[in-house]
Amino acid sequence: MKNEKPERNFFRDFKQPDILTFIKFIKKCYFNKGEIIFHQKDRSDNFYIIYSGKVEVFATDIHNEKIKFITLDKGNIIGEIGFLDGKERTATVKALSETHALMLSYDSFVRIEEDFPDLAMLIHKELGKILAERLRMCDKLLINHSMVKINENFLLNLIKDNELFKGI
Amino acid sequence: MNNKEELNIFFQDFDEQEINELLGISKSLIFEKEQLIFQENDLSDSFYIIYSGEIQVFGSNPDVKEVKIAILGLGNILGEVGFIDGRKRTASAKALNHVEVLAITSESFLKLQKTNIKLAIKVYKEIERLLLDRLRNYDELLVDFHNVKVDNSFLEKVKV
Repeated sequence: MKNEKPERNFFRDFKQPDILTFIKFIKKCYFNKGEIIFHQKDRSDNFYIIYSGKVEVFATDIHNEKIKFITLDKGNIIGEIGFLDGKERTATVKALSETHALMLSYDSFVRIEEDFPDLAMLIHKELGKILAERLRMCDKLLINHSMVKINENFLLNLIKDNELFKGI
Repeated sequence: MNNKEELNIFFQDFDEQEINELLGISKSLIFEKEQLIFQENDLSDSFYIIYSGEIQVFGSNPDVKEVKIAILGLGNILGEVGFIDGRKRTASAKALNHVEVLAITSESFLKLQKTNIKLAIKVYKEIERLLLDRLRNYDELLVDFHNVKVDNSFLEKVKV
């Protein structure tokens, strides 16, 4: 599955005062080539914005075989699902090169919610839009697959009902 | 709006004062059997909390007019994706019987942000929870759809 071009970019509506406050809560992280940022099924709850470098996001099956992977780079967001619901990571993320990222921990986010609720709402809205975008993309694929199935059935029934290819 | 008890499922973690405040910013709507609450490709504006009746969510394709997606009822939320991103509805929704919903528009939600930001955040988190559950159902398919980016202007402003 090739990297689809994102339709819109996020965190665009941050004004300078929001940025200055936000900076106080984020940490700059550095990862060496080959370093794992987090593992599928970890219960970590930071989210990251890649500032430079390249990472690979991949899911593995029960035999530890890679079943899906994608490469991400500058500007990409990772970890927002675990960040928001605190459950297991959905994939493993590994640095493919030296990587710098901005990181917001869930604990810091709780403090933003308490002390800077307007900024917290702004972040929630951006993250919400990210979730919605990913859900739309997944739903679209699912509906398209269903449509393909429906078309096949329709065709098969048409053939059967009209006794097409009789005798073959 | 009479029966607050019927709202329990959505409002489980909200206290009476919060519920009253939410009732204050919402509109009560009624739909009869077969009436559409919204149609695929409509512009989105509200999300709905169902407090009576059942709603069929469905898509369509050239061959089949109604591709059934889900049936929603008491305590379920409808239309949350469109409410969050303001884009077109991805599916249609129609009443299967006599339906009553509470509608919260983006405009009234903005008002709530001004009058009670913490309650607005709480409501938003409820909606996020729904999206997160649905996303997790997709399992490894999620990996393909990881390519979401922040705007370059944001990175420049942060000046790492």
